[in-house]
Amino acid sequence: MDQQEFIQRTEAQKTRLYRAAFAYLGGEAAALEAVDEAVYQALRNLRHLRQPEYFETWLTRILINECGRELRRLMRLRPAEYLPEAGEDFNYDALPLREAVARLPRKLRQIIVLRYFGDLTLAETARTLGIPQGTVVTRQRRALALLRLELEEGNI
Amino acid sequence: MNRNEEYKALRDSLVETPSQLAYTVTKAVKRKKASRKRTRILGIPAGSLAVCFVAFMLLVNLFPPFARACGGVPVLRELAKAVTWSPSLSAAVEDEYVQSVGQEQRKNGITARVEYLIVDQKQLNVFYTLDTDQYGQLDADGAVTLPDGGDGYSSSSGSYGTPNGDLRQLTVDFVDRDMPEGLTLTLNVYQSAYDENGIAMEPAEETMEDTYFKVQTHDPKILAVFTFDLTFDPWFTAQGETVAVGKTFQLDSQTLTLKQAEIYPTHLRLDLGYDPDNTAWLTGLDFYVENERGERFVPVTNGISATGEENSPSMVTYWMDTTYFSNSKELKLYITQARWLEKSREKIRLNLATEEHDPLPDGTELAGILHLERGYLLTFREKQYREGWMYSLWNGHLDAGGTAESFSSSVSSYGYQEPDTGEYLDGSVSGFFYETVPLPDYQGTEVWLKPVFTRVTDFSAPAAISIR
Repeated sequence: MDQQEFIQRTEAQKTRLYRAAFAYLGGEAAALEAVDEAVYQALRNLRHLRQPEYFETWLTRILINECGRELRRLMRLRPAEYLPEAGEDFNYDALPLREAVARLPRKLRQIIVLRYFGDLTLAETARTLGIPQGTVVTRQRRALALLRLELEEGNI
Repeated sequence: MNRNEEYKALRDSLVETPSQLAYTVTKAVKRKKASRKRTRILGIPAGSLAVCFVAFMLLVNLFPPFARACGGVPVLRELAKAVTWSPSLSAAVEDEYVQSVGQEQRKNGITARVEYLIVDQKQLNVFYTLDTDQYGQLDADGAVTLPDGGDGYSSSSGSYGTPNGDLRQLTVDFVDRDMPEGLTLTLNVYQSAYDENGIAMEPAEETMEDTYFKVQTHDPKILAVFTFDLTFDPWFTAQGETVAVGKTFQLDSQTLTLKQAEIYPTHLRLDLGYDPDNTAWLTGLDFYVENERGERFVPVTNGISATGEENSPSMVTYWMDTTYFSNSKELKLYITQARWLEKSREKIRLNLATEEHDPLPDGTELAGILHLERGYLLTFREKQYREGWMYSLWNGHLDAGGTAESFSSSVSSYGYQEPDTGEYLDGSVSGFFYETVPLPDYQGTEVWLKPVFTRVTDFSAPAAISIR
């Protein structure tokens, strides 16, 4: 893939990436930082992309890695604002959805972010995270139950 | 509002995206361009050059017309592709200045093959491949041993992350001695921590303090060790010419001498001297060399770009693309920018509690000091002296007892998040960037910082010095 194609395909993806990063990190500035860094890292490593047909999931995986890194940084910098993830016995009902998503265990949060904010299909989510589709389904069910969300495919 | 309505409202609120998102891709392209240009200044005392490994990014596809031209010569096609980042090595391949090797070894399911050498009096470039049908992506740490066991060289690899089967490169530079008749290359091969796309599947759990304060270790599990005895064609190792110049000139009220130009097939070195009575040390130059046909040759942008001397902060040898293959009769040096370390400002005092400090290098401001459990992080806003250029401004520091320490790491970024207010500052908009340096386990309240330069002078009419 050459740089021109990278620019075109990334431009088409950046709103979706921003939505996913916002859901992961819970704020505009942090989401912008993660998207900026992910796009740069993707461009820098473009020569390593072996399957251009999976560019969008590859770029999303880089974003998820960057979101994880950014969140750890923010938790160190602003511990009062960025709380650690909560367990499955935590009462997520008491929090607004945005904050509840941010407190989910990392593996469940990734699924919610990718499926319901990044608009990836089950297969794309599985490929992005490098896990089987069955695992995505299981984690999705657990995450939705914790958040008390009842979303069907048509809601996305 | 139930949860589903809340989800819908949150999704709707994200239909409008911040205006800065419009520049995300443009900024990434600019930043990548800048990292290509970023020069790495290595102050290596000529008398005590130790073996060091410098990882640098390869520049690819810079010279597609050249790659296409070599594409018609089967044996050189692959090599031409591997050296497109270097005008000097590209010229060498185009001129068939290449020694073929073809040594292959297989161990533990891994095949290592040394294909080509590009070697002259002062620099060796080894091109080799690694392949396997048992493991995933491979990487290798390369090292060389001289027949006399001596040192006086520096080796670097820019090939980490090269796909299996593709040509990798190891470069060895000799400064205070010439190329030997041969040497031994050792490759320690291990499985890469990255997948075939160059991305870590599970990034290391690392806190911000780890990023700055953790001592970085590199201790991979070695899968195979390969040893190749390489013998050089003496015609190649004899190549190189020194042009005595001996011209003294004034630059920005300082007195310098262009002593000589060393012209090798792989690169060109300009050796400068200075008047000890100068009020500033020369620590960086922007320049180009032009021949009688108007062809321009520019400084090395990856790898060693300048070397210093043992007893001063001056950079006295500047490395650039070679004119060797250009058949130039006349060469003239044009200096467009000089970076100086003023002798009166070699140490800059900073109070860590009050943030009071001596005048910082021109174009630099203190953005903030963060006191963490494992030490201080100092962040400076620094000027981009040319578009997209980020550099390391700080050499190290002195503690209250006067002991000199190097900074263990520094991180440069266009953006900076103000720790107290959380405000995100984008320096690139106004021609700046941010550099953060760590002071690990620092006990004192004052520190003396050692800048690389304090003053930068641009010459709208470049200073011109004839080389020959």
